[in-house]
Amino acid sequence: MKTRRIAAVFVCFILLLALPCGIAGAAGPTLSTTLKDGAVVRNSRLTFEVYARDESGGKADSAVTLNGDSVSPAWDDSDKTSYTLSFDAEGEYTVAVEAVTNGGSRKSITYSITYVPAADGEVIGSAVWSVEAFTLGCGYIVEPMRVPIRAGETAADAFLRLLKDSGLACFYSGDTKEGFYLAYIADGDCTLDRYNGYGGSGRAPEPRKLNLSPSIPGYLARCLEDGMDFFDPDEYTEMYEGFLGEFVCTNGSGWMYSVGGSFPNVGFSDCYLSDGDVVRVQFTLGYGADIGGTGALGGQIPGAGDVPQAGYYPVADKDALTSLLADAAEAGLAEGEAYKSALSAACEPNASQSAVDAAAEALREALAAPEEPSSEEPEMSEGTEEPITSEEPAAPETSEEPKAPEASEESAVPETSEVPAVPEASEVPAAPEISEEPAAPEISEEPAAPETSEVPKAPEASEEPAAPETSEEPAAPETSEEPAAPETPEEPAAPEASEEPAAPETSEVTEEPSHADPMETARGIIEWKKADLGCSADEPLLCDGFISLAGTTAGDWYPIGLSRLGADDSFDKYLSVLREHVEERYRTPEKLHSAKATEWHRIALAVLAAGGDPTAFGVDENGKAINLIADGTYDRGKTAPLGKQGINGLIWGLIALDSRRYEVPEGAADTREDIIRGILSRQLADGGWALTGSVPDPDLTAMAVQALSPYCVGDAPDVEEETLKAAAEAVERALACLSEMQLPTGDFKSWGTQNAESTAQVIIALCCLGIDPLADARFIKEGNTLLDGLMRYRQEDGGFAHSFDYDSENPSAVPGESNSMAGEQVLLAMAAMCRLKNGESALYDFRIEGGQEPDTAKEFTAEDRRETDALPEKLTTEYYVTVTALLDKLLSSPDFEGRDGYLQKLTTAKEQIAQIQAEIDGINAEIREKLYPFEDISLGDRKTVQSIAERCMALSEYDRARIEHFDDVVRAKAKVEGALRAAVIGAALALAAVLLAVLLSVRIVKKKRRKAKEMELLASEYEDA
Amino acid sequence: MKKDIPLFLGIILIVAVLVNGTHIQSVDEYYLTHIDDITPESKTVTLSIRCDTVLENYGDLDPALKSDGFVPPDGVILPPTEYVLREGDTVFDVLDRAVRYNKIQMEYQGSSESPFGSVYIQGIHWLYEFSCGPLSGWMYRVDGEFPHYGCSRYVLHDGQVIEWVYTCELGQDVGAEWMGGQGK
Repeated sequence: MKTRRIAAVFVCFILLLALPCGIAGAAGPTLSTTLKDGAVVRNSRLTFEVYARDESGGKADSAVTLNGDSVSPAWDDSDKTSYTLSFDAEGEYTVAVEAVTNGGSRKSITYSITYVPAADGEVIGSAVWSVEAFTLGCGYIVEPMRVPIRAGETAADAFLRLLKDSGLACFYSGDTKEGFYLAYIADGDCTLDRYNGYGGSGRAPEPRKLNLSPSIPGYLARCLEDGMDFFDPDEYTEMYEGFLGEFVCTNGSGWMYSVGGSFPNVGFSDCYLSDGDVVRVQFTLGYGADIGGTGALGGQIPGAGDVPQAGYYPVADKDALTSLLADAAEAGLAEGEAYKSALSAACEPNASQSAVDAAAEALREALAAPEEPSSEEPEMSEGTEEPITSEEPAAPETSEEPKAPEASEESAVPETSEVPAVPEASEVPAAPEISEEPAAPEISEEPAAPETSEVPKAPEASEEPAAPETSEEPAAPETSEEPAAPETPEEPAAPEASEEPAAPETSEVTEEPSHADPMETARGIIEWKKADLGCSADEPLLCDGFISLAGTTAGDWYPIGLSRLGADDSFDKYLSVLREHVEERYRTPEKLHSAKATEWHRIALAVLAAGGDPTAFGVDENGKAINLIADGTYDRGKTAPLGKQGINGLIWGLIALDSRRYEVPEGAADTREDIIRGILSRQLADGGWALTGSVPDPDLTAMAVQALSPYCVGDAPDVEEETLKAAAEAVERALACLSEMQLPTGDFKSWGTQNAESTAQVIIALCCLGIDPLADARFIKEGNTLLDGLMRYRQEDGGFAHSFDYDSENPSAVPGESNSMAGEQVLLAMAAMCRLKNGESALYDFRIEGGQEPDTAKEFTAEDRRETDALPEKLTTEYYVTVTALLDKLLSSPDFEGRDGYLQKLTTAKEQIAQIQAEIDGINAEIREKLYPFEDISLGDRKTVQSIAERCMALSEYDRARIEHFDDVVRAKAKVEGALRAAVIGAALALAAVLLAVLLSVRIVKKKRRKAKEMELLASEYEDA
Repeated sequence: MKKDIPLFLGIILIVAVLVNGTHIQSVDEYYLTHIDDITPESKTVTLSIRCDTVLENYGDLDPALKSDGFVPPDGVILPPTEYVLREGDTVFDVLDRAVRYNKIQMEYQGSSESPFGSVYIQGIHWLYEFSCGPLSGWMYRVDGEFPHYGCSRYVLHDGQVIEWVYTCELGQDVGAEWMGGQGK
């Protein structure tokens, strides 16, 4: 009896322990394969991969049947299982794939495959091939190209043909039908029969050398140093020159290949390709861990199991990009900018998925744009690739479809679509102030570190990929051969022919005139920015989403540029929201900022640009008109020094002060002279200016010239004669310094990086002085004007890139991608050029011709009324911009019938929105206050958590998205509800236990009594007897 | 007697359940509430926040901030702390989580999801840009190097070490040579 009881208790415990497992097990196995349902197969054999996973993510068993007959695995590794299907007769085949876990749960997928036989040798499609030495920093050995697939041929056959046609040789064991193993890829003129025991493919008909100079990226070298038994980055050059393959540089090196993004675990000779496959032959230094292919080796090779299964770093899926590169090369775009930047993105071993996708997208656009091939030869420089492409039947373009990025690899990073505009400022303390000014951003954006010095650095060179600035330093001779070289010098943009017939232009290339016309260029930037924001082309650039940025660095420069170009946009709306924004910030003790006077300057310029008056812009809490000019320039010193943030405060203060030649009243903290003297005193010995230190910075120097320019042209503001002289002299020296800094390409380098913004600022400076920036001999270098220099950064989407430099350590900073800050500064430069050409006032000279203020009365039109009527009953903060602008307009509108009704409605609407905003802020504060630390949240917090959750849910969807950490609210709710449930279940069970115990004891007592009675009975009977 | 056995077993069962805990969750709930638990399999990163340079430039500090409450005597605002790395986490994401979990004040501009720009860290622990001179502000270092772009664009990998450091000299005092290199 006792043993049974113990056994029963034991069983109970087992059951209890199994409980959580049972819950987890409900998810079941997962299964995916590289087969495509409905595929048409032309080869009689088809190899594919099965990825089966159990609940815990471990590899599960799999089984495959072909028309009901079981197929045995061709190869199994720790990651996946390969199967080869053989088809005999034409027709439709059903392939069932099933995953089975240890627990016995199953999952299956059925595919329908059609086999259409082809005669041996018949071309049945094409595959994109590439041979890559990315891990060595050597880019492509064979750039992506489309190669026909012939029936009956294995991948090994195709590979040998590809190499031969590319002018290279290889050494291998086995043969193309069985046991093919690629040991080395070698120089095409190698005539050895055998190398290290492997047979050679023979001399290529048109041989070329591999010409590799390995420079393994630093992040990979570090992994290899730690992870490999043997690692010598120089071994190739010292011992293997001309032979790249197994055991070169590390014990974990050799050739691997991927098909459709996965690394088959069968050899080339067992691999049969299908139309559209992307085959990437890749050189690994770490058993595949450096190229995303660890699984294919598993434990088969000694030492290979030691590398991290997840790889050294996430590796992006580059198949779509590879395929597009092949298409682009075929289309003759190999010399194009998009191709080159795509190439450099592809060649980075740890390129992020977003960078790869962005490069692919850019290339896809370049392919879609039926641009005239430039006057150069459309062929690629490697003529050897020609024979293959020409042999090609019109390849079905299926592989062009963008592959869905492997979600598991790297979830779509939010910043993909973003331009690295403001953010970079964040890291750099200097940046914020700088980012005020249109010029500064590049500082913060700079991938300066390795390339800062102009002097080529020698020792570390082997660690880092070759510095990108090939145009600066004489490139190593092999650079030109290496497709990986990130930056080959671009051709100079066309000169502005109409303006500049004298310019000693060397370029023969005639590009579309748009490149030369500043208005066209500006239009391109506006179009790009609209597309970037997701606006349609006929919408204004200052859409509601953009207007919500009014008063910030990211917002204000675009309206300034637009207005100075004479473009029509929603300036009124911008002004209304900006006013609201300024009034709000004026209610804080620091007003616009405690240190940055440039906040006042930028906003004042934006107010002028949008048609407002910065000396009376809204009212403060005391009902006094806000004077941005006084508070931000001459009287700034009463609160904090104008130059507290550095020289920018003085420069932009002067620009704002002179924007309408504002009078400085008696008793001001700083006079004009003070500010000018402050700027002049900070001029460096060589004529330039810098934020810190003694090396001149082109941006700050150009901006100082912009500030001093009113004192060098006619009708200067009223200052002493001496000051005028000093200013004029300082500007001359500054121009000489800028001229000195200009690069042979026409552009500039700031903080170590060649960039677009510096050039834009210099153009603005010259235009402010009334100097034609394209005609001044001081600013034409080797035939390249400033505009030529600037146009190098123009992207096909119309926007401008900050720089082309590629920083291998920062793979997500996409070089050559249009960037918001570059766009706004080039927009300003184009406006400055247009204004100079049209004889209009300088860029920051906002004096009104004829001294006439524009008519400020606005009419509340029928359209405005309709818009007001259309406002929904339940408003959200999404309507903030609309309501603010409408109300503002109504308030300044002359009376009309029903005005009061509209006034009432809009005022109520504005209050309602303000309330929602307050609620959002309140919830955000409450979340920060009450929900952390998360571990401490318990049943006691239930009420708080529930109230926060209810308040969130009461908001509209749009507003809820503005709750900063709604996910944590959901999380906290789940936690307290779980705790509550646990408590309820616990209480119920305890009650049940007590009841049962009572029942049991009652029974036992009863039994005892009965027994006692029986005993008594027995005793009495006994006595009786 | 025999009838007592199931009763008795029932009680044992219930007691066993109570001892084992009644915290029963669905798989989703479990993952949701344990997302930041560090397990041997977790990918993690380490984050610290320091302001040592302020101590060296105490004279330049905004007088309103001259208090141990704003500038800790050892310069440590957050000692190196390990955080679970979620898929796609950027330096900003981890910083944001760290300051929330430790209730450290932080102010930033922009949104990591907004197409209209990106995040810029204005102040941490009441120390803002320019709080300690015209060249002061926050910078971050990953594995000892100063990246040159926004913290909401830097996607992290397993095992990386992030240090947020306050500089008073445009990075030179914290070893960011690329910023100061020009100035010499």
